[in-house]
Amino acid sequence: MKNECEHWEPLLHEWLEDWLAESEHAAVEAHLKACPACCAKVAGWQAVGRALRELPRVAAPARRSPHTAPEPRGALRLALALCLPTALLVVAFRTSFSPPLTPVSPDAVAQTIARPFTAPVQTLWNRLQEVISSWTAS
Amino acid sequence: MFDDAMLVERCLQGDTGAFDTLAARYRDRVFSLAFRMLGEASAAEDAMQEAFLRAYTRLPLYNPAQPFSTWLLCLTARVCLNARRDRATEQRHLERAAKAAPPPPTLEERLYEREQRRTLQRLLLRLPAPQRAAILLYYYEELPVAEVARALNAPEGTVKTWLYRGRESLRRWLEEELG
Ligand SMILES: [Zn+2]
Repeated sequence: MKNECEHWEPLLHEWLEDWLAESEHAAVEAHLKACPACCAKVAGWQAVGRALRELPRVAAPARRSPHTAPEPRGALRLALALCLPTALLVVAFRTSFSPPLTPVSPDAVAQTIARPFTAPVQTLWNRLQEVISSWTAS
Repeated sequence: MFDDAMLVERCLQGDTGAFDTLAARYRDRVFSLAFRMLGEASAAEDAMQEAFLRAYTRLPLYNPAQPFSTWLLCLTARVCLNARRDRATEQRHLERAAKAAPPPPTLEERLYEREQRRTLQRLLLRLPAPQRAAILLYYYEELPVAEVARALNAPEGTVKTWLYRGRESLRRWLEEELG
């Protein structure tokens, strides 16, 4: 019987996994009915399959997070941290020296701003006066 | 909650936060497969890092017809197989795994099932790497034979033979140890 069983063994495995063609089932099942040794083997494979499926998942250690590409949100944060103050400085600096985009009538400006100025605003005001004179000159 | 396909889509559009979500979702699963494959936590962690890095860089090659989980797990199995090609490292991991394997027999550890699992994990490491990969992808991750074959770059017939031989070896060894 032993040699015969060796012949059947791979087929028994295919039968267990349902990989066999329907036409081959009857022959395999006939051998199984007649052979307790092969039955025991198939039961063993079933147990192994079940044990493998039931192996518990292992939680990944928390120490190192999974590697992803360099964190763009982090990069963005850094860029903002470095660039935003610089940009604000540049804007603040440039606006104090560039002409306003819309021409303002000198009289309207003089009427609106009648209060005494703080030093920086005074500087800005003086600069504005110069700009306004340059418009009227040209 | 976004499904995997949506997250992949968002990631391909440049939203790397979406990849973080995917990675968080599959972390334990990827780690578990790597751990079952390599038998050692630090090697499994390295493999997990490598698998996520590869998944990230190769995401444009991913075919959405395949479930993302299948693709990621197959990729993980390949990373583990490649990791094993480094013979010296493999030897070191196997030694460490062997050392880690004998359970200190506390009362809890004597619980039959748990001991059986430990034994199974140890015996898995005795299988040739391709057999082990096939066994884990098919039985543990329950992927179809066709996917396993694709992942291991082997014909389906070969994978079926690996599954049969691997399972028979495990059955025989388990019977020797536990029977
Ligand atoms: Zn038989």
